[in-house]
Amino acid sequence: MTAGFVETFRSLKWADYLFYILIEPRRFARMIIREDASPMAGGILIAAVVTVCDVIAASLPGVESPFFYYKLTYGSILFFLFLIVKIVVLAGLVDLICQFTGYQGKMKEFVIIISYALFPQVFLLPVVSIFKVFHFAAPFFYVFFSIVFFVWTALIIIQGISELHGMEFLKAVLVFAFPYAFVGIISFLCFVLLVILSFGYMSFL
Amino acid sequence: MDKNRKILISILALLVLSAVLAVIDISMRMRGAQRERFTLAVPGVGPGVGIVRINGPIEMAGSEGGFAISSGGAEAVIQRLTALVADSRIRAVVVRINSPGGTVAATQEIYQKLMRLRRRNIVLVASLGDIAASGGYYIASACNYIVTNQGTLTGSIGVIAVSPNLQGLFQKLGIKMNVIKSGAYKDILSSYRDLTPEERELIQVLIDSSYNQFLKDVARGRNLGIDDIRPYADGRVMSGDMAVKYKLADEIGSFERAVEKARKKAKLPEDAPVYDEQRSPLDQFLMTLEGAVLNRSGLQNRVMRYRGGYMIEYRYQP
Repeated sequence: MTAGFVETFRSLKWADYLFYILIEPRRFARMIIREDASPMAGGILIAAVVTVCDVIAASLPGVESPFFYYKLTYGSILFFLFLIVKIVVLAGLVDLICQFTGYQGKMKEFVIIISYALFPQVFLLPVVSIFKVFHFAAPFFYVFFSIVFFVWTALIIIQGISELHGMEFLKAVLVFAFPYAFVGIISFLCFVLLVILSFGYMSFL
Repeated sequence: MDKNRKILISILALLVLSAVLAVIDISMRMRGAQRERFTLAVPGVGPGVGIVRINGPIEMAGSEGGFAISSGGAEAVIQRLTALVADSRIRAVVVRINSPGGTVAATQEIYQKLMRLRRRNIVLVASLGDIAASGGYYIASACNYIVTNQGTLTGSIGVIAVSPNLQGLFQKLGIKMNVIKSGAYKDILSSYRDLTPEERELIQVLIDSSYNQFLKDVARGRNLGIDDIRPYADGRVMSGDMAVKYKLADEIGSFERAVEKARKKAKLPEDAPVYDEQRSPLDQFLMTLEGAVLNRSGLQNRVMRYRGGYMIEYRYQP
């Protein structure tokens, strides 16, 4: 994997991957079907970069304390690990629903596509920086562009799913939405349970 | 190199640059924020009056609530005073006191700090709230001018050390304490036995020493003679109008009156801004939550009143 990563880095193939993930996600999906395991390492690197950029972007609108340095170091490591788990879980659930609906299992490709699809989110940092420099509603635009870049990421993943399985776009949208709906319902039920427990505990005091 | 690759690498370079600039920007703002640790409420334009609030029992480090929101303490008050004085906009300080007093050392530290500021010709006006008794009054006496409400409980000039004597209860329950001590007075004021006459005398010396210091400092702060104060310095509490009558306060008035007086003494315009301490919305929310939980469970009273041992205090204890 390391040798493949070095080879990919020196050949500047990674630049092509990043370029096509932004411009033409379907072509990127076709590329990874043909490639070796090297895009996987690039995907992990992208997740790390996205984490660091997101921590800095989130810290830009407010006034920070020295805790910022902990966020930037230990916090980034923690968020990176969380992001990796999120990518694997998302890819697993997407693959699960694909196999459930009769398509072939392509877990590895999904992991690569999802991790590369995070790349547009790095642009959140320069965009928020601009609004911060001009003191123009940076917190609002942080939230706004977070949504915009999430939608961009979602579109890349949906096109990747569609291309990998030769699936219709709308069907790919449903496949992509499944993990979010699943996790959303589970989270909601956990939240309701937590609220019930909290009220129970407070009335006991 | 391929044109697309060049574009992408340029974008990445700009991205790295923006990340570095953002980190530098955050670090610089952080340093600025640290200099102004206490944020000031708007309007923040032009010279004005700073507010320092002393609420609750006075202790050195202050109490820390269940949600790790510190309620202050002498150290926080001193930091706040230092921050205010360092701010070029602050021309006068109103010290709002709502306290029954507290430990001797913490009270004296705040008093000393205020006296230092007074020597630097910074206008200090005390505004007394519900209660500014004992140590609360001690602090107020360091200010140039004291404004009190008519109904404020103040005075209580004196020192107190309280320790419960549970000897009878211990005997009744058959509890005996094993005490190994290095000196005769090591367990002085212990709750499991009576105070010996020698111990009582020893504590009395301590109390008298702190009391004399109290008298001396109040006399210095109020520009009075010790003998002028002594007749009323027997621990009695008094209302605001009585305090004015005995020259322990200057004027009956509200907090707003104290601010007006501070503006006037500092030769500020009538509409000069007031810079009050600001808490973040999260802190306010957590403190509200904490207050609700503690009040509901009756914990607050227990936490406030219980002390593991005795303390010698400038404190009004009804």
